[in-house]
Amino acid sequence: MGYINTIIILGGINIIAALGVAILTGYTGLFTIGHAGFMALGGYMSAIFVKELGVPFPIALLLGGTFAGLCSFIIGYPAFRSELRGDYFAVATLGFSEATRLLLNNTRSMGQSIVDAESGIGMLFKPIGPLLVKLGGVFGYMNLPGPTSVFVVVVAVILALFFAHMFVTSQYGKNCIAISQDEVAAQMMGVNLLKTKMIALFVSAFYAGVAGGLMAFYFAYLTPSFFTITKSSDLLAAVVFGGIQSLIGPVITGFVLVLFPELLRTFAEWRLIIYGFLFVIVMIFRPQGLLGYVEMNFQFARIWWKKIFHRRQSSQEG
Amino acid sequence: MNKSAQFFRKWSFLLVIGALLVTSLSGCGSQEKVLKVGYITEQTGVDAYVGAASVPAMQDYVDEVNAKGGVGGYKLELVVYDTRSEVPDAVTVAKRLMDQDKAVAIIGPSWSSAGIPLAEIANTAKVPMVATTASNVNVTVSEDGKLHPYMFRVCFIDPYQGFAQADFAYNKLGLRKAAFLTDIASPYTVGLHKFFKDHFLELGGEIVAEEGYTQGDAEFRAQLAKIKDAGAELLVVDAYTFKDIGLAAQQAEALGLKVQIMGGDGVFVPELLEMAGPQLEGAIVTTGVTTDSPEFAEFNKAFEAKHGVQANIYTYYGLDALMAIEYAIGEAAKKGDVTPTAVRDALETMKDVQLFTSKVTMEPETHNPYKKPLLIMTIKDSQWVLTETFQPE
Repeated sequence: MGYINTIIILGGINIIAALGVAILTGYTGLFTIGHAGFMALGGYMSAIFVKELGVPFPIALLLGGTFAGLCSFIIGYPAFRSELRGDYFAVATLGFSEATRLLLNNTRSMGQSIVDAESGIGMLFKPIGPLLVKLGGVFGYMNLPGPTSVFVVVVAVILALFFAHMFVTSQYGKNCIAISQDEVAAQMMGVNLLKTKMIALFVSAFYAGVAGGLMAFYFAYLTPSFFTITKSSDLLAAVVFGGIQSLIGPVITGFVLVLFPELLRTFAEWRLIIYGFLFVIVMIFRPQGLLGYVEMNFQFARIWWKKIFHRRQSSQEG
Repeated sequence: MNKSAQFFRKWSFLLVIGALLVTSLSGCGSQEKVLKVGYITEQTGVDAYVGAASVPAMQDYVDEVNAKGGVGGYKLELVVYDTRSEVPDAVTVAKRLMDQDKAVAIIGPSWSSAGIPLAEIANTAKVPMVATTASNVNVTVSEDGKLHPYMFRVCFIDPYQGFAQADFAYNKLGLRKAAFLTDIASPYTVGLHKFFKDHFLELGGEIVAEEGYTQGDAEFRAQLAKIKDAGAELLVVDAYTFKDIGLAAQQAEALGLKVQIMGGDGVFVPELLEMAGPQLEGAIVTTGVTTDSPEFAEFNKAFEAKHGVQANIYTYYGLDALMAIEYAIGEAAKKGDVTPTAVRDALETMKDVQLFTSKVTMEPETHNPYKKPLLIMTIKDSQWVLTETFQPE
C-alpha cells in the first residue's frame, strides 16, 4: 500500500501546486516558471511554525501558504506596476525563485555569522540567527514531523479544487479571464489590472506554499534542491499540457505527470524519452492542451442522477 | 433458462476449478526460493554514469552467485529502479521496493539529500538499506544523535575525509595557506569544506580565501584571480562533479596560478584525466577505493570488454554494498530466518568481512564502516598514482 499511497500523496501535492499555476497561467494569462520558489517559501515557513513554534499542522499549512502569498508581492508589485507581461514576467518569476533557493542554500553560514557577530548589521538580526542555523542551508532542515497522509492530501485537494472553482467563477476570476483575453479591453471595462493581477498572484502563490508545506511534512526533511527550476517547469507543463482555462485539465495532468513516469518504470533508461516524446505529440495535435477551455462541471452527474432516479420511479410505477 | 445452458454452466465451473488446481500445483513443483535485492540508482539524467557503470557489474555478480547455487539456499534477484537524481523519485521507488517487490534489502541511494529522508522510511518499513556513496553524517545518525537502525553505508563520512585531507596537507605536504573553491549548493562539498577548515585551523594553518560557485558554473576566473591575490599555497576543490575541478585547473593554468590542487573522492573518475590531465599534474585526490590498483586490473579489463563501460568507484561501491547484503543474507539464512530484520541484524554485527574492495567491519553505534582506509592519489603524467594509505587513529 505504501507505494500506491506515495503516488497518491505526491500526485496530490502536484495537483495543488498545479492548480495554483492554473489560476495564474491558465486563467490570468501570466506565464510563470518560478512557482518552486513559492513552494520553498511556504514549505520552510510551515515547517518552522510546526517545529519551532508548535503551531498545529493545518494552521501552519495555511500560515505557510499565506507567507508565500505575501512574498509574491515582492515580485508582483514592481513587475505589474511596470507592466511586465508574457516572457518578461516569466523571467522575473524565474529570477525570484532562483534567488530564494540560493538564499536558502546559505542559511546555515548566514545564521552562523549572525550568531558570531558582535557588532554591525548582524546585531539587528541576532534573534533569528539560531533559527537560520537550524534551517541547515544545503544540508537541509531535518527531523521535521511527518503528518502528511493520504487522507490529509485528499482532503486538501478537494478543498483546493473547491476554492479554485469558486475563485475562477467569481467576479475576480472573471476579471482574470478578461485580462488574459485582452488587457486593454479589460481596462476599458473598468477592471483594475494591478489589483486583479496581484490577487491572482497571491492566490496562486498561496496554493504553491500549501503544496510546499505538504511536501515538507511528507518527506519530514527539506532541502533547497527540492525546489529547482525543473519543479517549476513541471508545474507549468502540467497546466499547458492539461489545458488553458480549465481546472480539471491541470488536475488530471498534475496527477498523470507523477503517475506516468512510474508506469513507465519497466523501460528504465527509455522512460524519460518516451515521456518527452508523448509531450511533443500532444502539443502538436492539441496545442490548447488536452482539456483546453473545457470547464469542470457536474452536469453529467446531474444527468446520471436523473436517469437513475427516473428509472426507479418508472419501475415502481410499472 | 433451458437445460443445456444450465448443464454447461455447471461443468464450466468445475473446469475452471480444475484448471486453477492444476496451475497452483504445478506452481508448487517448480517454485524457487528467491530473495529480491533492490538497487536505487541513476539511469537517466545528469548522473546516469553512476547507473551505467554499476548495474551491469552487480547483475553479473548476482548471476554468478545464483550459478553457484545462491546464498543459503536462496537465489538472489536484483531489482533496479531509476531516480533521475530526484529525491521524490528516490522515495517512491524505495516504497515500491518495500511494498510491491518485498525486497529483503536495498542498495542505495548514492547521494545524501536522498539518503536522509530514506533513512526514516527504512526505519518505518523495517527494511535495511545500504547506501553506496551518501557520505553526510546524518544519513545514518540523525541530527540529535539517534541512530537510524535500518540505514547503513559502505563509504566513509565527510568529517573523516575532510579531517584526513587537512591532516595530510598540513603535516605531510607542509602547506600553511589554504584557499577553497566550493560548490555552495552541494552538501557534500560544503561539508568537506567545513571539516577541512576546522581541522586545518586547529593544526595552525591559515585560510586565505573562500570562494563559492554553484553547480553548472563553468567560469571560475574571477574566483581564481582572488585566490591568486590572496597568496594561497593550496587550493581545495572538493567538487561533486569532476568537470568543476577540471575547468578550475585549466583556468588556473591560464591565469598563471601555481598552487597545489586537492580534491575529494567525488572527482575520482577516469574522465577527469582525459579532460585536464596535464593541467592537474601533481594534484592530489583522496578516495576510499581505487580503480587503479593491480588487484582490480583484471576485473576492470573484463568489465570494459564485456559491457563497453569503464568501471568507476560507483561500480566498486555498488559491489561492496551488494556483497555486504549477500553476507548478511547468508548469516540470516544460517539462523533459518531471512526476514529484512534478520538481515539488518547481520549487517550490524558484520566483522572483518571481505567485500569487493576491502575487509569491512560495521560500527554498530554509527553504521559506518570502521576505519576504512583513505587513499591519497597523485596525478602524474595524466595517471593516478597511489602515494599513501591514510589510516585514521
